[in-house]
Amino acid sequence: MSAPARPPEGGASQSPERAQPANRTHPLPQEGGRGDGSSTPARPPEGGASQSPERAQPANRTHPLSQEGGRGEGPRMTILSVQNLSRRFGGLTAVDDVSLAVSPGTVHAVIGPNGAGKTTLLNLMCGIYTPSSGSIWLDDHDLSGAPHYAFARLGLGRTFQTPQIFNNMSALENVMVGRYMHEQRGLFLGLAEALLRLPTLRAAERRSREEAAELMRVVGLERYLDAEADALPYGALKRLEIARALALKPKLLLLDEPAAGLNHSEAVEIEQLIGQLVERGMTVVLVEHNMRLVMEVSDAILVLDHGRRLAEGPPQMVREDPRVIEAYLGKEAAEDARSAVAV
Amino acid sequence: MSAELAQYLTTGVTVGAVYALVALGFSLIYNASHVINFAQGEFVMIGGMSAVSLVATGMPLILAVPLAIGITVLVGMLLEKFAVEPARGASVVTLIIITIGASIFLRGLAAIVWDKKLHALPAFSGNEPISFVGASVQPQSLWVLGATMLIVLALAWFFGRTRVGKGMLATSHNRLAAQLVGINVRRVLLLSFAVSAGLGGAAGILVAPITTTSVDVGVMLGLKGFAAAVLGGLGSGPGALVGGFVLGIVESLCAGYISSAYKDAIAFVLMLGVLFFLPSGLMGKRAADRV
Amino acid sequence: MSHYRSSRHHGLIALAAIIALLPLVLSNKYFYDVAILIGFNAIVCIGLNLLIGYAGQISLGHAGFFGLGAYASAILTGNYGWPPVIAALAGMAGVGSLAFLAGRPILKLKGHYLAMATLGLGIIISLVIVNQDRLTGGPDGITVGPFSVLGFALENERAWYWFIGGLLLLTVWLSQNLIDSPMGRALRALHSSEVGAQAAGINAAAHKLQIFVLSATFAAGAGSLAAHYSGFITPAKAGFIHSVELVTMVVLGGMASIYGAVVGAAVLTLLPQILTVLKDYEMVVLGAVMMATMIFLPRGLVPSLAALCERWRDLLPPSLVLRLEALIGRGRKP
Repeated sequence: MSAPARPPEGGASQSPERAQPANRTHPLPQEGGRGDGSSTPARPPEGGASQSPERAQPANRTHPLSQEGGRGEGPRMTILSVQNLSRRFGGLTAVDDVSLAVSPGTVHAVIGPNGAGKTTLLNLMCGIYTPSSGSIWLDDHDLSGAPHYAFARLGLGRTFQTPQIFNNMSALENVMVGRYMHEQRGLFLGLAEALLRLPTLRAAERRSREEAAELMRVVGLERYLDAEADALPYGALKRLEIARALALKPKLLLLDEPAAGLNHSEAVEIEQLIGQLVERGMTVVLVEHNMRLVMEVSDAILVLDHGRRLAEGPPQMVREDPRVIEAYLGKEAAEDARSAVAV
Repeated sequence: MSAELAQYLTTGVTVGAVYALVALGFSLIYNASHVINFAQGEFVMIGGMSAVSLVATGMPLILAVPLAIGITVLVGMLLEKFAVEPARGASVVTLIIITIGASIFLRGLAAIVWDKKLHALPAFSGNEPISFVGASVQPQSLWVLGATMLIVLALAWFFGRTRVGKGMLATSHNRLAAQLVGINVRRVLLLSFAVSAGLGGAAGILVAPITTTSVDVGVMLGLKGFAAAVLGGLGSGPGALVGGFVLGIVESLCAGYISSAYKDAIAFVLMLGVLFFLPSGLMGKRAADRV
Repeated sequence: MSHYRSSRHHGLIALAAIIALLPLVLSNKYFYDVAILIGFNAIVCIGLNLLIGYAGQISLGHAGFFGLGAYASAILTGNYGWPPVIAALAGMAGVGSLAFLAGRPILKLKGHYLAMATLGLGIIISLVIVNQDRLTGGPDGITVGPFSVLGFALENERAWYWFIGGLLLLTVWLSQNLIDSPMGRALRALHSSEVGAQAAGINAAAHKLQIFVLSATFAAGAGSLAAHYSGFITPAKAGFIHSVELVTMVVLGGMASIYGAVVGAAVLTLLPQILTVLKDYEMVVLGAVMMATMIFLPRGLVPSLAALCERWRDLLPPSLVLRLEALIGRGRKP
């Protein structure tokens, strides 16, 4: 519904951004785990690995890390590795042979026109759908076919396009739910502890509240520490979901359209938040329609079209890729792109 | 075919026809409103009891039957108007409690209007059993089957050929779209309760000469009709028929060959089996709308 | 938060005060009897509310678990001479295991289908109880001996009153603790958004099963005690109608509210007692009350009252608001 409203906003903010030097440095001072984050074009590992020869890789399911290591691609490792993933719904192939390798401490965006299969891919990557073929590795765990919660337990936090907030509790409790797997004991011990509210549980709860409150501060929700979740405005719900995902202490954060439905300044705040998270060493996979946001924060972009990989690479490269411009960005953006090159 | 088996089968088919009518009523209402009407069994009771008391006043059967069905239809419409309509959009649990409350209300009312004794309706055409492949068939069984067949044909014509019926079908598939093309969704809801009450009332009248009727007859018949609807696939018309007959036959065979004590449990065992292994029922569509 | 925790204690204190002061107005055996019945129903309803109100899973078969607990006590103490406490615990363990086995396939279902499956399970249990007449006495029921704990027998209504009163307080306390624990949050989370809960690493199926087993065990325990108290048990206590009564108490009092379950149990236990005056009209009025409350107060008495409080809180002195909130235990939204 809000899609038609988006292009003008994106368009309006695109030009000033383009005016910046093409190989911008990240606004945040320390680049920490990002290593060569600024020199975007020179990022061969994940871009190169998945560029085109990936289909030629042996089909046997050896571990992706060992593959990476064996090929001696350098010190960088892959935290999430999606290999030749497909998902068919009846006769429709929503995701068709897509591969993706995400390196720690980077932002990997997935873009594409509506119906390109982005959300399906995301849902495959977190276990809501099971793949028809292909595999998903998180660190050194093969998670293909595992249930949704198992992905979360192995360190994949995610947010949803429509925030999946627990409206029957306070905002703080929402975040505390995210800590669940770190708090869980055995069935009987946990139940006894909970029913009797033993001192151990009370101490754990206090810690849990403190940590949840701290995470709410991190995402900028300190105002709502005492609020019920259903009293929060929409923009705050999106942040609350991020806080809940962070409470998992994830290795990887999957953000599904974090800026959808937000106004310009809220979107900028989300962008800054993602920047801060990456600065702290977080790895992010981002599905987003807001091109300005994507170009600003991403280290690599995967472009999907009709469920297939259309292009992949650093923002600069994707932006100038004629196939992408034609299939995705359209005429208007193509002109923009040309002017950007001129600058 | 042994005479024994033939006897069980004819009994099963007769009872099955009644279950099928009740199940059709469940499915109709479920389709129109996504409400499971736990008062469905009371329609059966009201139909049977009204017919009994009308006949007792000396009214000929041919007048008493349509009048009794008319009374049931009226009750169905009042139920929709005053209990279901005001609670539109309520949660599943709330709606379940409302219809259960309605069933308790109707049963209480019936106990005041009538009494708590057992009543028998005279059979439509005598009690002389007819011999059929070794089984003795009550003429009333033929009435049950014949009337059920007529009702099913009438329903098929109604939903397949008439504007109103097609509108009801359209509403059950997509309420919003139906509204957009100008179907009066509220009237569809009222109509579905009317038709479904009529079905229940007819079932109650048809079966009353065989099983006798009382104020409490609706509870088990309602629950079994409900099991039959699930068995065939909730919301599917053909499914309700198949579910009703399958349930009637299996129940009769188990009562005959295995244990008559657990006759009543069979419906629910079958229902659980279907829910666990075939959640969309024997004839249901895909399980996509299970949520 | 500190406010919430203190209001939690206020609620318990208020309930304890009511239980302590009630005997002042309970002038005869009959009143005690009704108060004890309320206590039993409240205990079952709190357990059922954990399942329906907090975890969002309906059960239309809980009377089956209640009945099984009652019959387990009756048979184990009567036929086999087990001590009542051991028999009750064995009944609870047995019902818990049954709920565990049946719950696995049943809890995969949702909404209407879950309602139907639990209904079917409850009816099958009650039919088994009716038909195993050599063990259960069939439709006529069987007598159950008195209850005793460690040689101390509960002989009169007064003893039972204090025992059930204490048990009710304990149940409220345990349930509040559970709801405020990580596990309680997990349950509330999967009620609100199952996919969101899974994204937080919560194994929804395992948790639904856990709470299903727990609430079935609650029902079985209450059933055991109720059987000892009344000295008699019939299959009707395991039947569909009783299941419906229990669910109605929960919804009437207020889903996802511990005190709602207590209030609902009190109202619906008292109502038929008052309605017996109406004799023939009893069922009509009961049915009408069920329909009317669901239509006009779909959230139930306690949360509706709480909402009313919220609306009026600006007009009332804050101290009074606090006290009222404490009294009604701040019913949460379902």
